[in-house]
Amino acid sequence: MGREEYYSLSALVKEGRKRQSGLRVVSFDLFDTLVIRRLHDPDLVKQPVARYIAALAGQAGVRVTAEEVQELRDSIENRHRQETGESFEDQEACYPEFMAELLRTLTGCENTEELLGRVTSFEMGMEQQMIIPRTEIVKWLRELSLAGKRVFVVSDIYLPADHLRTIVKGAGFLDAVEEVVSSADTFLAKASGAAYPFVAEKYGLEKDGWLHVGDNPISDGLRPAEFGIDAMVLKDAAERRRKSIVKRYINYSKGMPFWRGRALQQLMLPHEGENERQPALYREGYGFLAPIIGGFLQHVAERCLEQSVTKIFFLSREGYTFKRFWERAIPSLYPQGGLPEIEYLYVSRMALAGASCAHQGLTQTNASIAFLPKGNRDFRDICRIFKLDLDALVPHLKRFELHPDDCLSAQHSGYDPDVERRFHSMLADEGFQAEVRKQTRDSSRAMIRYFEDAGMFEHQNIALVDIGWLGTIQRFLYEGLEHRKDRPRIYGFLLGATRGVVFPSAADNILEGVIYDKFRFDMAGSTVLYARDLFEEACRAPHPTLNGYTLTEDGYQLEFRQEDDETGRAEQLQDKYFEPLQRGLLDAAQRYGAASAILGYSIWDYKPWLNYLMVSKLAFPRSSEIAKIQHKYHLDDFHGKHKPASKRGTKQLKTLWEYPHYQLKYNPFLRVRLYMRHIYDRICE
Amino acid sequence: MKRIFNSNYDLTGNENLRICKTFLLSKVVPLGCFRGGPGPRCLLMFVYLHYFSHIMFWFMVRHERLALRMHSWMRKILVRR
Repeated sequence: MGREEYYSLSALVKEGRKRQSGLRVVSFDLFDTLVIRRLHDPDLVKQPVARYIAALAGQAGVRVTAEEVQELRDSIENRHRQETGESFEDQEACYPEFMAELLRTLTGCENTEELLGRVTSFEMGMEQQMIIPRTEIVKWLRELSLAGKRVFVVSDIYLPADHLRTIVKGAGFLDAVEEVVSSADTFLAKASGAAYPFVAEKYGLEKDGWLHVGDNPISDGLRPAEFGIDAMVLKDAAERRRKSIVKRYINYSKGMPFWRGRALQQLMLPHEGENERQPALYREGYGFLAPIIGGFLQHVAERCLEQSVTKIFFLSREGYTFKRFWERAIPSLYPQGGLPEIEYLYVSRMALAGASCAHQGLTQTNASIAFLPKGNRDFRDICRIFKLDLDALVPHLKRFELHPDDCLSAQHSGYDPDVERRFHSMLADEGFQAEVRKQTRDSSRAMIRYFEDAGMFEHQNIALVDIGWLGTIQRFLYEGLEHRKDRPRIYGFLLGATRGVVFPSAADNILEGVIYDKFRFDMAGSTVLYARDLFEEACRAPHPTLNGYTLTEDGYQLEFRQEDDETGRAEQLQDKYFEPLQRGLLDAAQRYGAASAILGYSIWDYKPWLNYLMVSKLAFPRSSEIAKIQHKYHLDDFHGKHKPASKRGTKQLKTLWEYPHYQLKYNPFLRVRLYMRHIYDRICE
Repeated sequence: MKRIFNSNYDLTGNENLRICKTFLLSKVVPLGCFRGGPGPRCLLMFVYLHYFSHIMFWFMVRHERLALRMHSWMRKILVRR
């Protein structure tokens, strides 16, 4: 009989397996033995619970801060422990009792059962998010159970056995355990040794052949040995090291904002069985894109609540991933509810461009947007983008001495400013605009019917969430709705807003870039422009782009792009290539929500770290990272197929991500040079 | 194929040494707003914890009392009141 100490989990399990044949009963401590927490301090879980209770109290008309709730909880729990200590050797407390008293004190109501249920469910949810089963010891526990040994989980904690069972079930080994025993039910704890005779008597256990395994030298080592059973005490050096690191990230982040995002990532990290070997793209999705997109969506949620936005539309196709990320992460940050409804909206520049002309016609600004991509050069491209019938417009072109193949883009050879002037005169012509309006009327009506179905006009304030960059979709959408008196106020949120074309901002049409906005001078944030396509590829929905809205007799039809041509096939290949990146991003979403809820920080707290992430991964990446992440192909129909002729003597400027591998690897000043050029461009634009 | 959480309890692909490198670069090239940055003392502590502390923890779990005595003795010397 006695207790032995083990300094690693594998040493303990190895010794346990040796002794296994002579055992009849094995009892395990739960926390830090069978399961570990992502956090170093279990009390940190109480902070989001305090915030939740403060929010619930606020809804009931009681104004109280989270700090006051936490203080009150601590004082009530301590009083309960002291009262228990008068009748029992251990100073234990029982969660449902002290939490019910806390809620009664706060709300002034006697019946707090429903409220207690909600708070308990939230706290258990947070606990479960933070708990990870230790693969090696759980595997041994299962072996013991299969070998017919009686397996118990005994814990000293304020949570009653019912609640512990939920945690054990979540950890995935409740079926291998005969019973879960908690000191909160009986106030007989392992700390005093009173739990052991109680368990022995209740379950008819004999001391002979009983082994207890835990991590506390007193409760799990000395006390069972005094009672007369064998004990194995785990003093896990690696686990202490891990906790020491987490502790410092969290503590340093209180004084140094830079570490807040790093602390968030430390809490998001996968452990034990979750931490499997993953491809590079998965790791980048998990460790690089997830905190950025999480921060972006957290900010969107905050702003929507501030602005009383009641519905968020995630715009296709990047919005597909944003919506899925939101569903996994954001509800944990707002457990009290009140978040806007969310919906995925099928839109695209191509689909909205035509519909936006139904009332205002084709404006000069919209025509100039069409010529931003280098692939568009003439009136045929205008017709393709705005869904116009060229044959019906040829007479108008003739009136202004224009030809469909006349070059209208300054990026192409053959450009003549005089031709462009005549084109602008045509845009000012009422006859031409009447024809444009006539041709786009049906697609506009179909679009409005679709938006009505999506409930867009049932809300006063809506938000549009998209990846970026010019805000063209929001521009076309707003212009398409401008004639309606019941149009909602639109708040647009972009991951990055480059604002290459002046956005028609108005009181009911607001656009904000979150991670980067040209209107905010942010050198680090602007590095998002290094690899815009990477963000698009990572978030793109697995369906083809929308080509337009077709009016039908009984409503409308969404018309998607064909998938069997060259562009469609290239997109499918690209989606397949980036699948691990998207998987990593979504796997991290739930952990982002839980970790951010624990820390209680906003995007502005995480921004210094996000800035570092973007600078190091986009402006100063390793050559191997570029080789693995680099997009291979990204074009859509909006871009057109013309190729501008390269001018002699002018050097084609390339971005870092377009350089060949050998240059990236062996040119030591390439990154710094390109970064300085990038900053110069941002200052001069 | 690598694990996201490496054996040094660090982020694979974004280790503390990379933060050190970027921190040093930010002293020469204006990289943007890091709101005070990582701070050299914090960086040193994390580099120590991630890369060299396993020996300390190996010793600590085996000789806890001695380690605690040494810790309080060092605090008395290093932390001035």
